[in-house]
Amino acid sequence: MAGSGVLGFVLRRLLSVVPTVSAILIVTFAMIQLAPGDAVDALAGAGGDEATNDYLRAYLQLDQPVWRQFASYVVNLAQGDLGVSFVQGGTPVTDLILDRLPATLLLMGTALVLSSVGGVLLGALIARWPYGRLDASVSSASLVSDALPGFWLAQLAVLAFAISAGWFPVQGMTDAREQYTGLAAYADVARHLVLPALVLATSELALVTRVARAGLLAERSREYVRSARAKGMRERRTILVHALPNALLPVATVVGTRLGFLFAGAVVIETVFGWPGLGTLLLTASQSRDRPVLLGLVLLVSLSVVLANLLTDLVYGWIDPRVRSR
Amino acid sequence: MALSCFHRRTASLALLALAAAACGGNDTDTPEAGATPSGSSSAGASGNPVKGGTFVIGSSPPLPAQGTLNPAVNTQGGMQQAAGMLFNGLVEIDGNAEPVPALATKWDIADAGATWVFTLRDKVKFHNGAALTAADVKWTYEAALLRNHARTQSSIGPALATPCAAAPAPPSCPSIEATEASGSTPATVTFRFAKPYGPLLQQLTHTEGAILPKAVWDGQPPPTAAQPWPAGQDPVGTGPFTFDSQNASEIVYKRNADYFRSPEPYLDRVVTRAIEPAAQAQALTAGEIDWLWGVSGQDVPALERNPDVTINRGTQSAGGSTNCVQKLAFNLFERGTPPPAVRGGQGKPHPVLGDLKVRQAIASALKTDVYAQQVLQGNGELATSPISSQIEFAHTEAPIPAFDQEASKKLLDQAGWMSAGEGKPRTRNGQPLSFDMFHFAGTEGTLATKMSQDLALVGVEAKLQQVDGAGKNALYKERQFDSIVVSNCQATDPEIGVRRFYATAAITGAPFTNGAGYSNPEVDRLFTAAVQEIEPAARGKLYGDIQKQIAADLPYLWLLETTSTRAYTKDCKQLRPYTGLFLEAAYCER
Repeated sequence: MAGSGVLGFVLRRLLSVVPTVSAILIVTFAMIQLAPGDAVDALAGAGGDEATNDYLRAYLQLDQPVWRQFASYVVNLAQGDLGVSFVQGGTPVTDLILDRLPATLLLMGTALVLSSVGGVLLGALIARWPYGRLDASVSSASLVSDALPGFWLAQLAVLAFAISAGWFPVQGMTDAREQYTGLAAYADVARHLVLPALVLATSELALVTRVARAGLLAERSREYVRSARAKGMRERRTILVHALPNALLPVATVVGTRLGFLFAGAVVIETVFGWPGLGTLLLTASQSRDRPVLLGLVLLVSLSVVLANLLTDLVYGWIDPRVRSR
Repeated sequence: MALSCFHRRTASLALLALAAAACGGNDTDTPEAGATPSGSSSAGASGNPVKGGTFVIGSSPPLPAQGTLNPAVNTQGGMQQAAGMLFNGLVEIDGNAEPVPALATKWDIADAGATWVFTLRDKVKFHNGAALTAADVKWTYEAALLRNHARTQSSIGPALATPCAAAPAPPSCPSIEATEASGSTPATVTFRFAKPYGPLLQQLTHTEGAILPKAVWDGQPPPTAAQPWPAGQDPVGTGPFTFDSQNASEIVYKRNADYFRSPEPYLDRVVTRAIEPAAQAQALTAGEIDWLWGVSGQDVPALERNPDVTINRGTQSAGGSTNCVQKLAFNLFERGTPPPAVRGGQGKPHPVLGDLKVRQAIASALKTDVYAQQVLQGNGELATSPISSQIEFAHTEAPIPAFDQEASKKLLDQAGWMSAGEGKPRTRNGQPLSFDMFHFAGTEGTLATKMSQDLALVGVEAKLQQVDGAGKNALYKERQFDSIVVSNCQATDPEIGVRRFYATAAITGAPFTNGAGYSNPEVDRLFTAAVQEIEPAARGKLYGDIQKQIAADLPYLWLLETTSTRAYTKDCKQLRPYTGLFLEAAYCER
């Protein structure tokens, strides 16, 4: 019974994805149309005479009425076809995205794990001695790091840890001069990953720390915690085993809903560090009015956010059985 | 053709053509790495080249997009550098901007310069192993270059004796003839022009005339900017390096072991990395990269102090981005008048900028002498003539109005624009003296800001509007602007990068054409006469007359000449930044 309830819940939520994503696609399509110039104008930076540009516009079907262009996009999308890029030599959008997705997933995944685990641990640490000196300094540091713009923090990190200290490379995902294989290749990527992942994780870390701290403080005064203490359980065990799982509920929510923001952050961080992910693709595509690529990326991100929210709800149910019965 | 082979700074084209033809006959094959024009120096001297190694170029993003590396149909930024790895033209340009043999070993001129016959190099192979034929050259021109290449189709195209078929008709150019090799007679390609055509040799380089392998497109539609290569086809050229791979942040090239200038190239691999401008100098300092095409003024002092880095300055750079002048284009006609109407002389003058006195007043109001330092931070100088000072035909006596605030105010009074009080734009019949000024972010933005500040002091309001590339092109196409900052790279000859800003026929709405809508039959006539003039002095006189006239008419303001400041690892030698083939003979001692 409980199982079919979850299934029904998941199905209902998945169905609600359709109107959400459709609305996002329509708005994005309209915004691209409203921006001055089209893909042929971007290509024409290269030149070509009027006849050639007309030919290109017809070739890309940009000479069709807008509603027809949208309709044909939707028809293709329904068949799982994201189309081909207008300006990237006719490369299929799926290929462009799949080529760059692993780099972005690696960066975002690392940042997500770092910020979630680190944030919970930090939150637990300072919640043990609330309102003390440690709490004050960590809390203010997290406030500051949450407020810092990522691109600025990235530049500072490069200056401090790459240029001055020489511990990490300045840019890229690999050493351009070397062609490592096997373990050395993984080590090379890992070395390049440290700075961008840390910078990307920083603002998320701040948020998770603060939410975990607040959650733990709330739980600490609950009766079950007092009972645990009363029966002689050690404080660390009380917090980790009893209070933390309950305090994790809001943390899970934060982590799930921040996925979209994390992607936005990754776009900036990838650009600063020359990380070959989706960020650079998004930037080029918007500059060149590459509509199929932009729509493909928007689709990917909006679907991920919706699915992450769904996943958050499921995780919620797993952490807190009470949610399942509601 | 009794001219001897000689060198001189920025030799004149027609003469050059004849001289180089003689040189070509001797097959002086390799451009001299040491010979460079003033303002540009070859990076490193010849020694005993070391083979192998990887050379890493730092390039501002975006890199040319995946699948677009075809310089014959796409002249976007970054393309020229990629082109120099992968492709050759019939002719290349050496450090003195003189033509030297490339895929053609020599050229013969007949009919006083109206017929050019190029003898093709024997045994040249494309990266896919196919041999270069005369048919490849002919097809590249008729199917790709004369249809899609912004500069080549607008310069060589109209000059040919018989026009080429336009897209979507099948490619055909009767005025370009291919004769394949037979026995000991090498293959030739002949260009036939309606009239003598002087600038041809400057327009056959890998950036202006990259030669493609025809067979790759067998059974496929010809290449366009939207589909530069058939789906799944890697770029294939004859150049010193072959295409290896590309991802979001780098393009990797490998040594072409079959290069016709064997043992060149010496490097095993070349990697072009996309690096944000703010991080480029840092990456060079950290030793992660070897070369930067552009260093911002604020990074120069630190790099100059770095013993492992050499700084090199020049205006000549990889073909299309040579001799660039930042200009302000005035729309001489009412906003939104379609280009054909302007071309046909049916447009109404722009209510503000259509008046010569207002344009003169704007020119006098600008304190341009500090712009080079404040805007370009030393990476350039004040423009002193409509044609770049690095081109022989620059005519510095052409009177571009100097800074004179009082004169500016007087001109505006005379034009009927009266002061409306301190800090307010002047008015005429209740209308404020105000117009839009469009610009890119970056130095163009700084330049536009400086101009608007100077203009405010004489009661002119320039409203700044920042746009991106596609946005600017759209404004240009629909003529939906009052004024617009344009960077005009003039290459090595006025016919390539100057004429298209002034000729009536070039009021097309295409980017980097006559955006002002300027039309003067006398200027049109002089440009045509200059192309057909063989004698350099006489040609210079014609360009002098043109510049005098356009400086008087002021359809544009010529503001700054930008210099490229490059920086590179000291260990690397024989770099030739004046040509896109700049790593052809490069090597690194490390």
